Amino acid sequence: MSSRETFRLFRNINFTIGFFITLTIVLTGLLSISYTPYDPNRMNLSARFEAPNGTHWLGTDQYGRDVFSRVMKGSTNSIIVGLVAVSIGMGFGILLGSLAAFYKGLVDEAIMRISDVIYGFPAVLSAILITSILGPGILNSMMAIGIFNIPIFARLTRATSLSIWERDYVTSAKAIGRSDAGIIWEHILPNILSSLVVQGTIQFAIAILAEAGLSYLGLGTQPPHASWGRMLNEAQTLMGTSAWLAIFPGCAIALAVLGLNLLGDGLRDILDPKLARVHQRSI
Amino acid sequence: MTAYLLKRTFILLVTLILVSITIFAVLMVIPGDPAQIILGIHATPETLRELRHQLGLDRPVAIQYLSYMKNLGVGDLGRSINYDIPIRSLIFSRLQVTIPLTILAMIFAVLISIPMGTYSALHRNRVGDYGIMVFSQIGLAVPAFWAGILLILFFAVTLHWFPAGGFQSWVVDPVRALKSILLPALSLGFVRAAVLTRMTRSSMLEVLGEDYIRTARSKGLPERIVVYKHAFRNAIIPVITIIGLQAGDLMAGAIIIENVFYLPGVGRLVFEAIGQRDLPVVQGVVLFIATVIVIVNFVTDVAYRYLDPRIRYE
Repeated sequence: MSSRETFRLFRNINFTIGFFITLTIVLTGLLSISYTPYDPNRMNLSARFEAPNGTHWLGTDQYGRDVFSRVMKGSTNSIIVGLVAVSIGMGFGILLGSLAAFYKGLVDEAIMRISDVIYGFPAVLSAILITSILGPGILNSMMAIGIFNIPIFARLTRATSLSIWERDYVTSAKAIGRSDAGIIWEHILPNILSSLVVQGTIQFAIAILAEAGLSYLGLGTQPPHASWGRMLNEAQTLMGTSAWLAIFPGCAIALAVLGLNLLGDGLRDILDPKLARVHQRSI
Repeated sequence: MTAYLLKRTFILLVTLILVSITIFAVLMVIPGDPAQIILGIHATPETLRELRHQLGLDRPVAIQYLSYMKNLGVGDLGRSINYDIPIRSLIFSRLQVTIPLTILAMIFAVLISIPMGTYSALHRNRVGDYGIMVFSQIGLAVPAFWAGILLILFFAVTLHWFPAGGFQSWVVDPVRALKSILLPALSLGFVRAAVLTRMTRSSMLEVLGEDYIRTARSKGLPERIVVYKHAFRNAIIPVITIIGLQAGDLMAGAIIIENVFYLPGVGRLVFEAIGQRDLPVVQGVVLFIATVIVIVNFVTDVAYRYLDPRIRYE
């Protein structure tokens, strides 16, 4: 990327704020793999319910675990869930959307109807179904959120690539004998990539919200592992006396989602202004 | 319009059949034997065989599906293993919480978002507009269940204005029932308001830039008439669509919020059913919510095209 393009990106206030918030969350997540001030799962019964102080910046919970370390570790969890869920959604969504746009007719109709069905199951419903079969856990929640993402990317891929198939350069590529797979790889995908990146950023934020919700319900990350949603669940009965337990994990979720949303908004303004009115869908 | 309606209805039916197949397939792939789950580990092979026969589990899958669909056709979702009553009755009894909750949440969302979005569009790039946009960004980032926890902390734990959870029946104490769902509805509605505020703003801005608005102004019409009679009425059409689409999402959002506030609604029912391994109830509720979402999306789509004649009936 040239310095001029970088300057253009950072001139967008949404992008700049979103980029730095997201970068902070990602760096915190990476750092927490090798370092946290305390072991996030280590109980210390002599330090239970300590309010935020110089030793424990965000206080301690009912088992004396350091809240700051757990919030740090929770960011890794959210990033992994977001990455995997968006990758599942993008991988299958792009494949199905490309097939629908390429074959049109019955194949298109069948793929779109399957998308409608999946669209009828928001992440929390898919997770409930999957959990009722396979039991709760982070893998199952990633799968549920990923499945929820598939129709979103399938519809976007189909809608954006349909018009590109009609362009002159694609017709020329066909005329010189390029294979269909080659055309999709060399001409279609690069042209819809910006839309996919923008949507991917927004879906990443939605995945973090969904994971937090599922972990809050006990269907996602299981104890003792740190997850922002799980921490809020554990804090709820204790918040009358230890309000900090219910505040900091929630702030972390809101900050991560805010950063990604701003990043997505900024990227959309810069890369794909036509998408500016696509609305978000919650879990 | 008729041809379009017929096509959309056909698509709706196909989607609903696929939804039912998906949920039925889940029943088929569940590890373990539903009869064993119902009777427990001490059941004898004879009683298990008898129950499997009663439940029709010893028949071919296709026959089981047809029988399942036949029962669905008359609204029979099966029986709860735990409560031993029809699942349909269970769901209906819980809807006295979920339906008022989602309606109230939507009312809050509309009451907050439409005036804010309109104000924001009319005062574009001024302090008020920036403030509202910051509010909507925060609303999009805050999970509804955390908003609910904060509302409990402030209004229930600190101020004691509202109950922190639980529900009193509408028949026994309607005022207390309403107070029980106010905070959950506000937390659900707050997040929706953020989406709708952005939508109202962008829709109003688009309409305010149209030629007919310029014409109305150049005719010398008062600004109030231009904004509310010409612009607002057209700008609100796409917002109504989003409101419709959100109604389905609200049902899913209610699953988490009902658990935050311990409300005995459909969401709490499905969550309890997971804990009790009451799989027919899980499937019944998931089928019910998915069907509501698909039907609401269908009605919204048709209503949008009806309200906005510029959309072609393809």
